Amino acid sequence: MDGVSIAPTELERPETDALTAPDVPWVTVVWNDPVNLMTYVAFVFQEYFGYDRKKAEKLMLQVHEEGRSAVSNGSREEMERDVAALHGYGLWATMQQDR
Amino acid sequence: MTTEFAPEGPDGTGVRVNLEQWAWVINIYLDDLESLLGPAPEIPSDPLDALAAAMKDAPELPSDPVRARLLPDGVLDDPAAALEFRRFAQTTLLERKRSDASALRRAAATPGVVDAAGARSLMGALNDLRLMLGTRLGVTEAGVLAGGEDLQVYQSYGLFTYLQGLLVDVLASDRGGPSEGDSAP
Repeated sequence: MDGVSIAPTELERPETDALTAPDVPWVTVVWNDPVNLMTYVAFVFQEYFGYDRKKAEKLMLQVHEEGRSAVSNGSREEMERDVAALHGYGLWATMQQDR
Repeated sequence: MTTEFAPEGPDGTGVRVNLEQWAWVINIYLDDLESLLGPAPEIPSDPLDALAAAMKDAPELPSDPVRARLLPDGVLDDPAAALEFRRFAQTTLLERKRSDASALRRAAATPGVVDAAGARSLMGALNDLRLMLGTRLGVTEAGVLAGGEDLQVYQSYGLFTYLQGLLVDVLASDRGGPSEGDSAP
């Protein structure tokens, strides 16, 4: 039916909601890996994220003991950047929506 | 006996590198690593062609377990998103790994001093070598699975573990030194 497509202008914004529905945050998860040295993983968290030693070691231990740790959060683009950087360091990282 | 890595310079951000005695074994496995990474692609001078070439070179998770570990998926349980991530990130990741491998080869050939960025490259290449050998050896949390792997692979994995651990210690020690003063959370 033709009439249906004559959408009132105020629909334009609601229609984009799914895309802009912002602020459903994303997280970067680092997975445990039996090869990577624990000191190296903590070093990467300090160097790349600028975390202090205490925080870096806490996250590293969480990866080691619980198998994974969410190490950063933010927009999808930011998490793509973090995951790519962590792959550059050789860590096993993935991104996901934090639900 | 000289140490393989030592802090260098007044601010301690450089690293003195002496890997001469290990160059032969490093080179054996760098050859291996570089052949897994494949040759650097010809980059077309036209930026649009270069972009098109990069888009074309967007494979799936590699079937070879070592390549899969070196070039992991960035998104789990969502093949379309994983492919998109690979398109975005893989070319750069491969470039970095190739360039780290070359840096380690150069450093192993001639003792000298590298700056902080150079040290990061050596670290990256040592880590890639360990990922490669560790995957082949089937390293688990419990240790190395004894599986008839060649003794040289096992010993080389141990060597790269030692070297990387030493380099981490050198780099971490110039990170504000003794960090008992970590500011309270």
